[in-house]
Amino acid sequence: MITDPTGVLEPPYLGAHFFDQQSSVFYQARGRTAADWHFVPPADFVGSFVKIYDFFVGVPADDPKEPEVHQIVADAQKVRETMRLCGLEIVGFGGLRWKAGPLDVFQIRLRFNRLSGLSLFAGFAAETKAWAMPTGVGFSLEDDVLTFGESVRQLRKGDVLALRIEVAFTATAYINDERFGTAFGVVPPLKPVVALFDRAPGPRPVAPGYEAALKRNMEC
Amino acid sequence: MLTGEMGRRRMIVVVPAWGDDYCRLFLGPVLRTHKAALEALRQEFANTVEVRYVVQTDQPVAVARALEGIDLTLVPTPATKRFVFQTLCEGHARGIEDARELDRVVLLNADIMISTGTFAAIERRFRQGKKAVVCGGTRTLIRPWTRFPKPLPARALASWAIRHPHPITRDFFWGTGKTTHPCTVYFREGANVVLRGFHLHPLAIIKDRRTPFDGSIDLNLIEAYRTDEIHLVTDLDELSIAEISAKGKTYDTGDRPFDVSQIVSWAVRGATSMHWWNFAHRIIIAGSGDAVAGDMAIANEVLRLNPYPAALAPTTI
Repeated sequence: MITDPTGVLEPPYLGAHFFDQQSSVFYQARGRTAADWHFVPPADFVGSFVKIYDFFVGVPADDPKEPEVHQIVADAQKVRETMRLCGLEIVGFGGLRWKAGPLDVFQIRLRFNRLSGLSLFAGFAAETKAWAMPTGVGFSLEDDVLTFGESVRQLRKGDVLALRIEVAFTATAYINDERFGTAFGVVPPLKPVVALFDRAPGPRPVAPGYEAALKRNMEC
Repeated sequence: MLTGEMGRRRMIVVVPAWGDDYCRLFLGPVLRTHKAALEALRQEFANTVEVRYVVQTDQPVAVARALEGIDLTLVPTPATKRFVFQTLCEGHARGIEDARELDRVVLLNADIMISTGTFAAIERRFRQGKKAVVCGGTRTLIRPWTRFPKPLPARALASWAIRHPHPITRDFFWGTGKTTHPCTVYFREGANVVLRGFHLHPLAIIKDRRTPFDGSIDLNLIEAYRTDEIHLVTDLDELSIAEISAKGKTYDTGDRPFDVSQIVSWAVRGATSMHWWNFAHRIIIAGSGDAVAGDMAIANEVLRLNPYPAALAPTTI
């Protein structure tokens, strides 16, 4: 359970923290914006922020062309690296989302180097917040159990899976190109995202610069 | 449409050939195949096609000697050192630039062997009204000069190349290949091989418009043409090309055979709408296409996720 070393949480639902091993700084969310975040020494810290990977490129025409693209890519890489350090590796080209006729397609390939103590959401999310796992149409992982709707699959450590979701009127999920499950009543458009929450106790490493990337991109 | 004096057509054959290794390759086993193809062109079209070579090279004397008797324009390589693909790009661009309006321009490289009927097949398609000819080519492993075959007809050259595949080619085989960039996919069932490719070779064009391209000619040159103006070679007996590469040439490989998701991942990022159109075609590389069934389901699944559905006219699938 996340504890608050300062004993103060304002507002209470922002009781989330993360630890940057490189800078030995413990950040605590205390407000609605990144500017409201404060840091305290890492002593006694346990807990984690949700790591959000949401840099999904599509067809070349969708690529952001503005100068800030370098920052976006660099930030996504830091999140990706932090997820890897947590035990979830985004392999290959990263995340992809694109339109194929009537379909909204989400695809990502993941290597599960660790299964215990992790929660994962991969799919189209309604919103992304640093302190809560997203909800929407997607794969969910709790420890070694991967689910999509009512479909369930048990994973083994080291598994590499290509996850794909195709959304039209319904959402169809594929694992390694094989149909896995269907969800009805989907309301697009939703934001493609991979979110990881490390529930295991104790401080954990994050990629250098992760906290700055999170502050830049998270809607708090 | 007839061009030039007395209705003669002009065919410009563009070949960038520089550096000791590539010049030797071009002036050795490759040029031998060109000469056989030129002879076949002469036989089929008598003297109605005038051929001129444009060779970008740093060894002009050797090239001029080897091409004695053939109209030749020598183009120097860039004075400043560049990436290989940039120099290649410049060589091809210069050849196209030098061509006159309505000339046929055949785009080759120093390491591409062609089947004996290649030039004649190109001319045939152009006389049928096509404006561009696109084909697949198999990358084969370099070998001692004496072990290259004599000039071969299309089916024999394609079969020879696939029997002596470069490691990169092996990595493009469905089921066993581990490339992380599956821009072409070979499907083999017994001795029969079918190719599905995003990146194909724009072998020849009619110069009747601007053809801007960047990177290399297989990226976007052909996008200056409509699909109904393009002849994509799928018939093993029409023409074939084989690219010769040294063993040290490599592509990225992964730790497992690529799958549909991998093809799609690459193509969504790396393929233009024209490349998807290319992929919709079955190119027979060896044996009979009827004997290969495995590519259909895979290709259909990939094409179902095509982000450019307008690029796929029903007749091309």
